[in-house]
Amino acid sequence: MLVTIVALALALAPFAVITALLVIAARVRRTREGAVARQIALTDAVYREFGPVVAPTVTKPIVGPWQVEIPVPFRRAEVVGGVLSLVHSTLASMDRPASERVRIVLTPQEDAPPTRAHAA
Amino acid sequence: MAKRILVALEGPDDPIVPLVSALARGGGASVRLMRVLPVPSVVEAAYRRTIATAVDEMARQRDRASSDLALAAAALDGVPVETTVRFGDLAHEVATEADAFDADLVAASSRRRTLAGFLWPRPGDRIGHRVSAPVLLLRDGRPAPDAPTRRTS
Repeated sequence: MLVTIVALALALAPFAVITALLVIAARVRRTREGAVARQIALTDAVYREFGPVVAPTVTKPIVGPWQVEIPVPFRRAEVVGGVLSLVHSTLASMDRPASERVRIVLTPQEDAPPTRAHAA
Repeated sequence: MAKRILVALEGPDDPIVPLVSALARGGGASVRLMRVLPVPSVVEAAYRRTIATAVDEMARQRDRASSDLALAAAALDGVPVETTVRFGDLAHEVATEADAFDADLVAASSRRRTLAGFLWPRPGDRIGHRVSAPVLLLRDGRPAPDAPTRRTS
C-alpha cells in the first residue's frame, strides 16, 4: 500500500511542480502587467495635470504593498502635494484596497524641467 | 489630500519636516510628530553601581526627544501639531500610532538601499508593512537650510 502511494506521489510530482511553476509565472506576469498599467495611468494623470514634471515608477515587491517611486522637485511644494493627491486618486480608481496601503517613495529631482500650462 | 499626517522623525533636522510642512499647509492637515526610541536599560558604573534606573533613563530620553520634537514642531508654524514619544519597536509603534491617530498618511525619511542605509537606517527604512495607511517615504532628502537644529551649550 505504502509503495503504491509513494509511486503515485513520484508519478504526480513532475505535474505538481510544473503546475506550481505555471501558477507562479502567471502571477508574476499579472503583477508586471498591473505595474505597467498603473505606471501608464499615473504618468498620464501627472502629465495631464502638471505637464512633464515627474516620471513615476511603479513596482510591486514580493512582500508588501504597491510602491510608487517619484523624483519630485522639493522646492515646489504645490507640485509635490498635487502629485501625491494624483497618485492616491489614480490608484484608488484602479484598485481601492491597494491604494489604501500604497508606499510612495519621493526622491530628489535635481533639475526640474519647465512645466507647460495646463491645457484645460 | 491627507488630513491627518503621522510623521516618524529621526531628529529635529529630519528632512521630512519641510515637506510635511508644505503638504499640511497646502491641504489644511493636522500633524502628529512621533519619535520612537528603544527601551532603555539600567545605566551602571564600575562594580555594577546603578547610575540611573531604566525609568530614570526613560524619563531623560523622553525629555530629550520631546525637546527635539518641539524644535521640529516650530518649523510647522501655523499647522496644528501634536507630539508623542514612544518606546519600543519602531515598526510596531508606528503602526499602532497610525491606527490610534486614524492617520491618512504616514511620512518618514529613508535612505537609499546601500550599506549605509542598512547600517544606519532612518525611520522610513524600518517601517514595515503593518501600517494600514499610505506611507510616504522621502529617500535621500537633504535637511532644509533653515531646518532647526539642537543647540549645544
